[in-house]
Amino acid sequence: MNIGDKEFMFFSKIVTDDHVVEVKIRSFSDLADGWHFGEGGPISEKVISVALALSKYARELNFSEIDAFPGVNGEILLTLYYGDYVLELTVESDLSINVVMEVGDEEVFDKEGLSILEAKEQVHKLREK
Amino acid sequence: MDAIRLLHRRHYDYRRRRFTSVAFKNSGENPGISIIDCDCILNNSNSICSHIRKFYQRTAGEPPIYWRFNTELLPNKIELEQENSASGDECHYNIRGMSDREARKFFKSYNQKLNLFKTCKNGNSVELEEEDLIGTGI
Repeated sequence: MNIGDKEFMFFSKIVTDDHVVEVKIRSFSDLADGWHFGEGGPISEKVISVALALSKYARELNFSEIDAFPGVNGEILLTLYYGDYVLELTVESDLSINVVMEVGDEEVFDKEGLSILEAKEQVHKLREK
Repeated sequence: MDAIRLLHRRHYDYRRRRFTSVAFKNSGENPGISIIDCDCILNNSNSICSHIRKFYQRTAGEPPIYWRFNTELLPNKIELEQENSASGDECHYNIRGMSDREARKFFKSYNQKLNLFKTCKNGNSVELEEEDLIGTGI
């Protein structure tokens, strides 16, 4: 954790919460080979970096509920919760990003193969709702 | 086919109280979704829990969690291909021909109640409860 981060100083509670997510994301580099019923392995640093960048961007926009899940193909699923909205950002092993937005339990948006800039745009759009 | 899909507790979303889409997704170089044939398990005189212990003990997570479903619920175009697991499980199959998007929507349509899933306690299959998943969230 970067204790000196501005975000930590000014939004300490939020950053403390999100810090846990970032630790969780980093921990995916320590997953054992075959952790998922013989499949899956440690997540690459490149995928982790993109997931961290998206998490930090969401934190800058004051998202306070974020979670992350490792996939067996080397991907990371990042979930942002905002009221009834949930934005799922899957950073694939080739660093492309798939985005799904749900309202309640209904999918209202689904797009594959986004860049990190396009994914950030979706995060920003959710924040404006 | 009466089948089970093994689920890892890492994929449980506490906020939404359901498993995430990465719990039911294609994997591998020749993409497929791993399942296990229940009839095959029972024909080998194994219970589901003892079968999981035998072939997936080191990699199933603790406790083991699975979803039992009939593959007739899957879209018609899919194919089931028998392929031994890395651990030598002859009851292991791959679902081929289902995109990740289709898999996500299919799984989500059934992934609404936790008691749809089972876990193993003392060698017996029981309904999964949230307390069985404690320690997996953030």
